[in-house]
Amino acid sequence: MSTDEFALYDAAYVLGALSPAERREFEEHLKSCAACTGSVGELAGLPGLMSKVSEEQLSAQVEAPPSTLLPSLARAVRHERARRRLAIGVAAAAAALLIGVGGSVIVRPDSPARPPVATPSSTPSGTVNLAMSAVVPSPVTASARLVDVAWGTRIELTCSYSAKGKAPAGGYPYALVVIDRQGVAQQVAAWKAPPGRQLTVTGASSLPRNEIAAVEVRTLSGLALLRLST
Amino acid sequence: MTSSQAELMRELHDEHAAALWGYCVRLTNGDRARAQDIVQETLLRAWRNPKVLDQAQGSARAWLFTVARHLVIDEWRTRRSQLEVITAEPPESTPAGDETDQLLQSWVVADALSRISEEHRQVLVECFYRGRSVAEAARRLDIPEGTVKSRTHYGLRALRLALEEMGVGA
Repeated sequence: MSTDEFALYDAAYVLGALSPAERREFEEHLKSCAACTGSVGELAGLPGLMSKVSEEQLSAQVEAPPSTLLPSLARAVRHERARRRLAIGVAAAAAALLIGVGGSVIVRPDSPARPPVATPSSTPSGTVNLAMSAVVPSPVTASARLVDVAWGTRIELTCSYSAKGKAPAGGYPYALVVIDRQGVAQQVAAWKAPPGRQLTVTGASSLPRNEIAAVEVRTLSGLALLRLST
Repeated sequence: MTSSQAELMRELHDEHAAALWGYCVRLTNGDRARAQDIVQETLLRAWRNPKVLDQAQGSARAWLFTVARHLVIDEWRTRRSQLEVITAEPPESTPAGDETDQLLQSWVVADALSRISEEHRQVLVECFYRGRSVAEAARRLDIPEGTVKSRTHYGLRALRLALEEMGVGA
């Protein structure tokens, strides 16, 4: 085997690179050489996989990722760590409320942030319109109202985007997310916010209002910008 | 703690961002804003779940590619269902599951090819992608024909190993 002059022919053979004469010799040799037959078998599946890539794809200029990616990732890591700390705080506060008032969750209207478009109006079936607080600094402001309905909860969001800066065509995409008491997030609406305009977004959740722990406005990549904890 | 978490993210970025970027730009049909969202979310998921990185490098890369692909498909489905409900506009051209599946495979193979040595890659490009014979490849690369044969022999095995690491059996 160590003196097998054909021992290195296997790959050139399966790639189709042997000359016709060499190929005939090698095929003749394969009839009597189990080692070479075995190594051809090992490589036989590779040309099929390799053909999924084109030569252009291999020689294509490799584009570097944008320089804004790493700073943006670092920010996301900081926000997420802050959010985890906050989430623990929110859960503790919710638990304290439940114990304190015997099972019913009270919505505290003393939200720390100023309502940007607040028209405080309380209804028996819903909460007042509350300003959402900023999780991270962003040009988006919003207030939200949670309304009990037969099928769950309707979330009415009034959202505006500061006129400064340029936006992609149609505005920036956002999602409205409802988080239940177990911390499970559910997207209930998505939209694009054109700069300088105020818009109303309505989302629907099958969760009863008292099972909603928080409502968040997020970017489509999942970064929370605004939060209202109930 | 804080700095090690930030450091982990920096390592993830340095190790995988370039490969993920190329793949996501293709997946999003060149929409770089969306591609950046997808790359960011994919790396964040890896950062939240660092166990997936405790495997061979190829497997981690395959995991990241798969997460990115799922994010694109989920986003596309969400958008399509919203379009159907809200505006009934036809969905924009975004790769459907089968196409992204093909793209994932081709990207995994291209990534595996980028992991083998330059010497090995060269002979595979000449002998397979450019369809040259051993003799022609030898002339172009200015090496003996026997060297072309041995490099394809070892190079194809190196490629097979890289693919196996990424969960692709040949």
